[in-house]
Amino acid sequence: MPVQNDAPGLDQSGKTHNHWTRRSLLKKGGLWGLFSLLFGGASAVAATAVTEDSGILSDAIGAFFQNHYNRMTKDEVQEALARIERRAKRTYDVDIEVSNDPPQPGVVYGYALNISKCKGYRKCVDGCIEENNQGRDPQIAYIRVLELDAGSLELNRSDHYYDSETVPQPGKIYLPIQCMQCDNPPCVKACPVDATWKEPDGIVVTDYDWCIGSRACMTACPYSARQFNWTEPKIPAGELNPHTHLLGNRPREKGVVEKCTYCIQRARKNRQPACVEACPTGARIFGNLLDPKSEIRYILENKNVFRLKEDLGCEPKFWYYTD
Amino acid sequence: MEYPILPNKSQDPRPPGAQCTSSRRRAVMLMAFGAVALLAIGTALYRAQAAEGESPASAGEKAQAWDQIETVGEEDEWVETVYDDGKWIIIGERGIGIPWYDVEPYQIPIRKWEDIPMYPCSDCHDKWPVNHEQRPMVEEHTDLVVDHGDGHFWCTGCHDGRGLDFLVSKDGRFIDMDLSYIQCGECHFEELKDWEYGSHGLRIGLWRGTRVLRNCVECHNAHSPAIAPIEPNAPPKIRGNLVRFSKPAVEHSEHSKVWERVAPKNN
Amino acid sequence: MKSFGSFCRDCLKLVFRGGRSYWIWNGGLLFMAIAGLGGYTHQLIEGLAVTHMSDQVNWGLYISNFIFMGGVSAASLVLVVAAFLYRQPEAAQSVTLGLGIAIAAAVMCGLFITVDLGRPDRLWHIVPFLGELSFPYSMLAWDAVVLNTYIPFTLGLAIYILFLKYNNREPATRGALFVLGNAAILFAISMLTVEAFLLSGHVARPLWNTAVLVPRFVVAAFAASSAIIILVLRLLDRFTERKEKSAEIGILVGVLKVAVLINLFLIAVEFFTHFYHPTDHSASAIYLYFGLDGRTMLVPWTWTSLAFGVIAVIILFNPRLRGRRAWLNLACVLTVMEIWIEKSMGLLIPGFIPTPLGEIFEYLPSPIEILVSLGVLAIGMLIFTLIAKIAIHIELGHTRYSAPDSN
Repeated sequence: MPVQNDAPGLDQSGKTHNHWTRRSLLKKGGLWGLFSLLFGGASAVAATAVTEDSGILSDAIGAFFQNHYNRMTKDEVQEALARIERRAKRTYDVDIEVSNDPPQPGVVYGYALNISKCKGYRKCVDGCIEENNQGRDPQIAYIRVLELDAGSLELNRSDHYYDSETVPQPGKIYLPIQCMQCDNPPCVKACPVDATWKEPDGIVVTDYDWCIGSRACMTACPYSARQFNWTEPKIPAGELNPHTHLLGNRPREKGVVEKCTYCIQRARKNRQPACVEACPTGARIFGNLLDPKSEIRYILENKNVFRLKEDLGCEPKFWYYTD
Repeated sequence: MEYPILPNKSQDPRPPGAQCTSSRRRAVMLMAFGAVALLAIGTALYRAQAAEGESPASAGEKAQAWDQIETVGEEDEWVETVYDDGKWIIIGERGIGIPWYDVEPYQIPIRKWEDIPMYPCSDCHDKWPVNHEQRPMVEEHTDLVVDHGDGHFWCTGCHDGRGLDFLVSKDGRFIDMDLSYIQCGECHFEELKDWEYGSHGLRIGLWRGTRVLRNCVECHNAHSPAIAPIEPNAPPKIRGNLVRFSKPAVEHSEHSKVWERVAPKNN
Repeated sequence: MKSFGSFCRDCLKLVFRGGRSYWIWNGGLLFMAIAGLGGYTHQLIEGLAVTHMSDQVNWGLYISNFIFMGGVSAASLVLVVAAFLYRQPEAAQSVTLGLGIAIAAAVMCGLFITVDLGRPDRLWHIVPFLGELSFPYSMLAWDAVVLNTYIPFTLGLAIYILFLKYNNREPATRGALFVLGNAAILFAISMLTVEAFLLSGHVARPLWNTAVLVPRFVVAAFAASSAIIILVLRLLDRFTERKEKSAEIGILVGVLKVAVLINLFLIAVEFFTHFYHPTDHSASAIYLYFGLDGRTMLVPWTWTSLAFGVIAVIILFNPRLRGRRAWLNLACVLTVMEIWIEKSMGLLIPGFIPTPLGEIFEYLPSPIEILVSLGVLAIGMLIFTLIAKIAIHIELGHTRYSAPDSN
C-alpha cells in the first residue's frame, strides 16, 4: 500500500493524511493544466480520473487484505485509519478523523441508570445516533427505550414503539436498554472469527473490517444490543460526526454487525458518552468502576441497584437503580 | 468547615468583598502565587474577567478552574465546546452546605451575571420597599408562577427583603445566588446528598477529573420545580419491507397488574 | 493406480452421457440454480435488506435450511454406513447413494450458511491459520471446521467404495473401510451435535437453551433422512434401472418409525415443561403453538406439522398400511414435511420471538430468500443426481474396470 501522506508541502491545513489523494491530484492537475493550455485536450481530467480510480482500487485491495485488528502492526493500523478517512472523503466528501486511542490503564467503564429518573423522552436514542454515525435508513439505534406498566419489569409486556403525545405517561415506567458491555459476553463467544472481543477497559468492541456478518453475536445477545447493516448505511453528509474511533463510530459498511461501545471515541478521551450528555434528566451515570471515588461506585455501594437478566451470568457492567 | 454563606445577617450584604469567606481565602492564596497564576490565566480568563467585571476573587477561582479542566481534557477544542469560558465557580475541597465527610470536590457553573434575568435584583429593589403581603403580581414578575410548596410559599420565604441579591437560609443567613442548591437542600436534603455524591443530577464535561455539576435550578425552575411532560422523540423506525411484521403494540394493562386481576375474586 | 485414471474418465463419461429425461432433469436443476444465483447476486448488491430478516429475527430461512440439511446429511451417512457395517452387508449397494445424499446435503449446508453471510467476501477470515478462527468457543467455528472436514472425508469414502466396486471388488466390512466408516459416523454425529449446540448454547434464547434440543435434533434428523432415503430409493426405482430391495427399505422403515415416534415423544416432553407452569421462558413456545398477543403466523404451520407427525406414526405402526407402497410413501412425505417445518423454521424462528427485550416481530421468508434457497436446493440435487448416476451404473455393473484399451 503506497502511503504518500508524508509528501512535503501538501498539507497546508496542518491536518493529517486524509487529504493526500485529492490534494496531490489537484496539484498534478494544475501542472497538467499548464500543459493542456499548450496541447489542449482534456488529458488533465482524464489523468486525474485515472489516478483517482486507482486510489479506489488500491484501497479496495488494501481493505480486502486488511488483517484482524489485534494482528495488525502499527503501520498497518495507520494505513487502515487512512483508508477509512479516504473512503469517508469519497463517500460523503467530509474530512473525518479516525483515531485509535488505546484503553487507559486502571480504567474499567461502568454505567448506572436511574429508572426513577428516566421519563422516556428518547433523547439518548437520538443523541447516540448523531454521535455514532449509524445508518439513518434503515435506522439503526443502539438504545431501545421500553415502556412498561408500573408494577412489573417483565420485558415481554413492554412497548418499544410507544408514541404518546407526551411522556411520561401516568402508570408507566421507562427502561432504556443498550449494550451492557458484559464482563462475560456471550456475543464474543459466539463470533466464529473473533471479530468481537472485550477490551481491557471493559468495552466490547467489534472489528468492523473483520466481521463476516454471520450474526451469531446478535443471536447470542440477551439484550438485543447488536444491530446489523442490512444494506449500505445512508447518512446525510452534513450529519456525519467527523471525530471517530476505529473500533467505535467510524463509518461502517453494509453487511457487518455494529453495537454500542459506550462511545469509545469519547470515553477514551475522558468525555462522557453521548447518551449521558443527551439525557436531560440526569438518569445516566458513567464512570470508572476501578475508581473508588467515582460516582458510579458511590451508586453501586449506596443505592439499591439491579442488573437486567443477571441470572444469565453475563456479568453486565450496566446497573439500574431507583432513588 | 468553612461555609460560603454570609456569617451573619447584620453584615451589609452588598459590598462585593463580602461575597463569601472562602473566596477571600482564595484571594490570599492567589496573591501568594501572584504572577505565576496571572501568566497562566491567558486570554480566556481575560474575557471571563471582563464579563464578571467587579469580582476579582472569582477571577482567581476561574483561573484555578481552567487550570484543572485543562489538565483533564486532551483536546482544547473540546474543552472549549463543552465549557463556556469563564462560567465556573469552585466550591472548595468539600461539598458545601451539609458537611458530607467524603464528598468529592466539584464545580458548578456561575449563572448570576448572565443567566439569571434581571440580576442584580438590587438594581430595582433598592428603589422600592419590600412588600411582604401575599398578593397577585400585577406590575412586575407577572410571568412568575409559584407552584412550589403547595401554596405555602411566598417570595420572601427564599428572597429576603434585606438583601435581594442573595437568597436567605432558614436560619437567616445569606446565600449567594450561585449557591442556591444550599437553599434547595434545606428541605430536599436527600436529593442534595444524592446530587453531591453524583447519583442525582447532571455531570457535565468529562467523566474523569474534577466533577462539574449542573446546579439544581438549571434543570428545575425554583418557582415551579415539577418538570412537565414533553413529547417523546420518534419511536424506532422499521425497515420498509418489514413493516407488516411488526404490528402495533397490544394493550397489556388489563393483564399486567396483579392487583387488578385478583380484585374481582375478592368482591 | 492405472485403473483410477480410467475410473475418473468413466465417471466423467457417465456424467455427460444420459437419456433425454436425464438432460431435462439436469437442465431444470441447472436453470433453478442459475435463477437462485441471480437472486443471490441481487442480494449481494442490495445487501441482506432484500430478505425479511431483521435485527429482531436475524436468522431466517437460510439458517433453518442449514440446520435441516445438516441433520439430513449426518443422519443419512450414519444410517447407511451403520447399516452396511453392522447389520447387512448386502445393504452396501445403497451405501454410496446414502453417501451421495450426505455429500449433497452437506454442500447445501455450506451454501446455506454462505448465502446467509453479510460479507461473503471476507469468507477467508474463517480459514484456520490464514484467518482468525474463534476456536473452541464459537459453535459456528466448530461447525465450519466439522463441515469442511466432513465433506471431503465423505466424498473420499464414497469414491473409495465406488472405486472398489469399479474394480470388481466387494467392499469388505473389515479393515480400512471399517475404520473409515466408523470415523465417518463419528464425524456425522459430531456435526449433528455441534449444530444442535449452535442453538442450544444460547442463554439469550430460552426456547433452545435446553439439553433436550440435542436428542430432538438427532432423532428428527434420523426420521427425516430415513424418509428421504426411502423416497429417493423409490424414485430411483421408478426412473432408473436400479430396483429397490426390500431389505434396505426394511432397515430404513425400522429406523423411521422409531425416530418419528421418539421425535413426537420429545416434543410432548418439551410441551409439558413449557405449559405445566409457563414462565417468561415459555413465551416462544406459546408463540409457536398458540400465538402471542394475537400474532399467530406460525401456529397453523406448527399444528400442521404435528398432525403430519401423528399421521405418519399411525401409518408406520400399522403393518397393513406400512406394507403398502403408496401409504409408506405418504408416511415418508409427511415425515419429511413435518421435520422440515418443525425442526428448521419451527425451531429457529420462534427462538427469536419474542426478542430478548420482549418485542414480537414476526418473520416470513421473502421471495428472494425462497429463490436463493431453491437455487441451493437445485445445486444439492444436481450433485446428488451426478453421484447417483455414477453409483448406480457402477453398482449395477454397467461400468466396471476392464482392459485399458477396451473402452
